[in-house]
Amino acid sequence: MRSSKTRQAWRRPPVSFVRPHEPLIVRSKNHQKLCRTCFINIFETEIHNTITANSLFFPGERVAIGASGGKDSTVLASVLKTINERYHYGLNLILLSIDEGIKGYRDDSLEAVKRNAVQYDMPLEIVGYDKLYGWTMDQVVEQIGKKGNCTYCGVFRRQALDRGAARLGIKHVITGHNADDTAETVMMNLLRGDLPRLARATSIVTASAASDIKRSKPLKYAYEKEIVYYALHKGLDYFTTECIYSPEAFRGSARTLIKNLEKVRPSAILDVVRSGEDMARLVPEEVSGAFKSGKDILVVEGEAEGAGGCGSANGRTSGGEMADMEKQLLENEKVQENETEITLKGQKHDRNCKNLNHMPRKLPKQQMGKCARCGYLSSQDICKACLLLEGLNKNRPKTQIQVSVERKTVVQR
Amino acid sequence: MPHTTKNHNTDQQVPCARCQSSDAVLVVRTENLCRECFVKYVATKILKRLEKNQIRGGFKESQKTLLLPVSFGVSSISLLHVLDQQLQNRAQQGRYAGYNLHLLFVEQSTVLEQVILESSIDLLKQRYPHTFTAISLEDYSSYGIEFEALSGSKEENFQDMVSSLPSATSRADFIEIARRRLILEFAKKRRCDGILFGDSTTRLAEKTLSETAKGRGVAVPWLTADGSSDGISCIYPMRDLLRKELTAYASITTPPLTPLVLETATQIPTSSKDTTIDGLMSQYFESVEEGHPSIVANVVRTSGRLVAPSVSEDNQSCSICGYPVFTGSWGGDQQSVISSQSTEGNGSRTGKVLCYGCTKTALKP
Repeated sequence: MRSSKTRQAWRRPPVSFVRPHEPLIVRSKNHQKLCRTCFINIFETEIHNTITANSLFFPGERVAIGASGGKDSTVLASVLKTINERYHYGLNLILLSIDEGIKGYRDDSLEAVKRNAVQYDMPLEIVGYDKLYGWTMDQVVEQIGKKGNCTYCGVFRRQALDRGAARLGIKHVITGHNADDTAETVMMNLLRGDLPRLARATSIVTASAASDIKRSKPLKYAYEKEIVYYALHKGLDYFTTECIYSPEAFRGSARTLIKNLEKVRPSAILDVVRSGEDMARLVPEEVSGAFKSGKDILVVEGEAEGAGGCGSANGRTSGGEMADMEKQLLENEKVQENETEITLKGQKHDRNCKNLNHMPRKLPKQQMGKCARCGYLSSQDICKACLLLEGLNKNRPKTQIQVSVERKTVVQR
Repeated sequence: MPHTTKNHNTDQQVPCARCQSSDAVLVVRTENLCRECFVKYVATKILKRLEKNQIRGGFKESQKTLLLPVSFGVSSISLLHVLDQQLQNRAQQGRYAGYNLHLLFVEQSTVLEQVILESSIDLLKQRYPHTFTAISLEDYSSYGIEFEALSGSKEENFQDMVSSLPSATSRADFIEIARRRLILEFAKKRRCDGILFGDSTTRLAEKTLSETAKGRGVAVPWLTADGSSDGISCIYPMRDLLRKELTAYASITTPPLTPLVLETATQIPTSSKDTTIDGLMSQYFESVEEGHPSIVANVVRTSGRLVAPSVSEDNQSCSICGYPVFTGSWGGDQQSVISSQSTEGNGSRTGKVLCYGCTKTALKP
């Protein structure tokens, strides 16, 4: 048991020893030197600009902030509270936290969220994996091991956020994904060869075809570095620990790359985000599996951040994921080499045609429906979470399954 | 019989997986190959690519002139060697060849610390007796290229222009852009039917991520995919070969290509000021290629599926790199920023249109 004293140690005192107008921060994206007051002001104004330029909210909207207790979501909550009042958005803000059930990580960070709820005077809703799925992540890891458990966590989190929002009757969840996360995702999707995700990962708003809960990322253009500065200079109360379970190798590799790029050219992070947005427009529509409706909005299946998008890898790579992919790709290559290509001479080698030939033959349009078990939106008969649960529950006495109980409340909404 | 052992360096010899008759000398993507089969493997990968782009050895079509830019790197020299062999074989058999080669060397010693010895050029000419031209980056203006957006005047000393750029990354980026544009213009001026670029899989993957990092992701399809670029057909016949495979190839051929190949071991600059994004990507992919070669190939396959935007439709082209510019405001450029000098789409000093990536390269922060 950790005492609350150690947790208090994470609180940072407001920096007061700096003279008021001394330049303190050199901004990565344009080398501007700013003093503390100006920095805080500009940081908030930029997020306000992002919000208004993309018309993220409407007056009186009830918005849930996906709060983990970490720096990103804490800054998001703090900034939104500030600008909501300053620019009269008229938003009704609520903190929504997911309890994955990871001891030594989530229980501590949830304490920070609870303090934030008091500090920002916002209601707090916590959705637990244990109640929702009958499994905590600790139990999942105990069963399947440290490898690959991020997939479970990612799939579960996505649904949990939606269900938490649904329980609150909220149709809009905002998350603290920052520019570094977005840049990482762009690089990661290029490395993984995941074009559909490349097409949608950079959009600021993702809405689901069958669910009426939309997601947005107001901090999308904010540097992680500046988020840390902001938290520091505003003396925000947040928790800094990364998930104790295994990170994704691809994200780790991409993360290291992004950090190195930032050292060479500090604007590179935003430049990658920009490239990612431009490249999303170059992904052929058959692949993106989405129709573009309006500016920067993609309507997609309900999993925008990818399977394990908790983004806490921080360069520690096990390499397992990359090795697995390497193996699979090699097998594909072998199969392809055994294929004999038969083409008609002199025909169809023009450019457009070539592009078509390069596409995987079958790309069925994804039909969104409801999961037969839990009612959550899914392109399959049974949603991914229920499939994963089925695998988990096979090795467990049946009495422990609690999903059905939870399901009722969700279906009835 | 499928091979099971990979310990080709141990005492017992493993037979070649393809011909079964000779001893394997190296492992190529899980296959143990002998010298001859490996040479064949490299040639086949290249010629297959050419065939896909309708460049075949035979057929009574009018002969095509293909421009082959030679940088004296392992890729372009290997490409030259393979094609030269094919042309020679055909000539020996008295068969018609569908193409001839025009070699182009772009001299960049004024801006890069690379030393290509006269003797290397002589050796190249002697070994590969094709049309050979050497031009200098300094000659850009005589090919109708201008970088007015950068210099403010139509003709400026190239060296001065490069040294005026804000960082090592910008300089390397600009030199690469200028080199490519010069090659394209040269090919057009000499009425070549196409350009054969020597980029290996590894190099194309590097380019994909490095252009992405430089904010020029929009140009990736132009820079990595086979197809028409700026009105001339650009082909990357080496796209299915990794750099390490080509390095092995260069020393395995008879005679070896190594005397022609400029040694460019990826050096890590001592000062971080000299580090470039391109250099960083080379380092990165050197390590990925080592352990995960298929992932390198996968990056290239992925970027190859992006559809090149057209310059004509509603996009203007950038006055430095020539690639399309997506105009309109962008959320990452914050309008509120006080001293912002560059607004998207018209960032140059002379009011010429610049793409996002070139804005980053050209303008001092």
